[in-house]
Amino acid sequence: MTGAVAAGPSTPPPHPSPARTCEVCEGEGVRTAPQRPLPPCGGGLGRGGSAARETAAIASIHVTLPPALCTLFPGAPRELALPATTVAELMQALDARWPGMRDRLCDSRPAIRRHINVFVDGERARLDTELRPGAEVLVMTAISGG
Amino acid sequence: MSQRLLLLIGTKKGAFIAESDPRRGSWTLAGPFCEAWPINHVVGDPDTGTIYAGGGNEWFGPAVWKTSDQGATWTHSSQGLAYEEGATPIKTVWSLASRNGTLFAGVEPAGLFRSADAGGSFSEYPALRNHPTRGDWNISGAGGTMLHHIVPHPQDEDRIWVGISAAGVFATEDGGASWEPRNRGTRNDYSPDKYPLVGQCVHGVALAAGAGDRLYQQNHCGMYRSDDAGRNWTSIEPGLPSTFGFAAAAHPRDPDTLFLLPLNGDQAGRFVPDGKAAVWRTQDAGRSWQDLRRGLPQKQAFFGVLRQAMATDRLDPVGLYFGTSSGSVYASADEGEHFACIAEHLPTITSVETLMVGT
Repeated sequence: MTGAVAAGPSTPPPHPSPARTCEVCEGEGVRTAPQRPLPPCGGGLGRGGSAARETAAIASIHVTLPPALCTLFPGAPRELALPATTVAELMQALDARWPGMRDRLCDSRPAIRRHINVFVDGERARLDTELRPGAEVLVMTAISGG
Repeated sequence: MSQRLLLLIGTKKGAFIAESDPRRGSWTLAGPFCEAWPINHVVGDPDTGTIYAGGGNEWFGPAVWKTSDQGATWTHSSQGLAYEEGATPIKTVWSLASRNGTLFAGVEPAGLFRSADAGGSFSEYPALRNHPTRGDWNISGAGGTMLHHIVPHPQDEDRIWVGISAAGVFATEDGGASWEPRNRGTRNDYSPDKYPLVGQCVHGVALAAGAGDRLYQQNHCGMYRSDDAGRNWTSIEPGLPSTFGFAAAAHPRDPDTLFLLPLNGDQAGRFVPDGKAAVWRTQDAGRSWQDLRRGLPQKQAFFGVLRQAMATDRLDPVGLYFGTSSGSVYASADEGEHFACIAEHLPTITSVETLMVGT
């Protein structure tokens, strides 16, 4: 998948650090380093959490979640607003509201799961992709299976 | 509440639960559960009646699902079910086992975890994954490593056996602090060294009734018995129609009785020999074998039975159950003498276990 990385417009440039591997190509070519530390994989019981309340904090972004994910977390809405400045922060914010949701979307590398796509303002993103205030974030399940 | 026997069925598209009374004459089926995720193993805790289902979804990763009301409601968790940053992530949960309040989970890539809070969170037994022989695991395999069998000693909490594909049987006797390969006498036909320390492709491990020193093993390359807790294995293949198969189920009270379901060969289709289904039973610890066919299809049957897809109950006479790759479940209420098909047209069945609930 070298060269197939279609990160968001504010994705940081390639970084020489060999310790962190691009979650999209998983080591085949482009390596990047996050501008912010990636949080550890969280997790927890996937019970239905309380319904998210739209938060009018700084850097609030608009998120759309896939239906199959919402089914796993009863009470999780398809669309919500959250404060986050990177996709990694967004994952943390989702996990804080619905414990375990980050584990469903990210793996322990850490990276967005191979069969999950996150688009930021229409561009495929990674955990280190920055989010502008008001960004539109679309979390989608990939076309896969048979 | 009257007693009910549950068959816990894992499939490629969700978990199912079949239910009967102890006479086992008729069954009802419920499912699919777990949002139709691929489920590799479903087990029950006989002390609490809680049911756990382990699997993994390509989109959302590995998880252990849990129901405390026989399938009416489910939760899921993978908290702690992860390797360190940079390691190949866990793809799926392959095997579960419960003992005295501890839930064990085996995963792919091979590793063993435990949960002390009924599946809410997990922690790894790192000494197994960091075993000095790790570099020789899977040396002749191409299917990856899965920890697909967990056999806790029923009384001694320090003792556990595990089966890892293309690596072999490992045992701990100190609660998981250290692990020892236990493959002596099992063959690897796909290695220049036919009897290596590790690298054998165990398919199934069954603990015989008794003190915990007798084990049976279905391997990719043969069937075996050990009378010393897995330190040495003896071939029990003579009299069987092939050396290949996946499933093995031990009698819950007679240590000499074992049920196997041999398949025609690893490169011959992996279905029942000659398209005729049979369970093979020994009642003398593998010295002789009897094929049990009554009620099973005897023509044009081209299914297999996977490694965790055969089980016994603890009733008298013992019930025997298996699920096929073609989605049928066969049940016998008389130790394999007669079978009946109790479910069909399910997804590919990955596991069958039993659980008695009620009083």
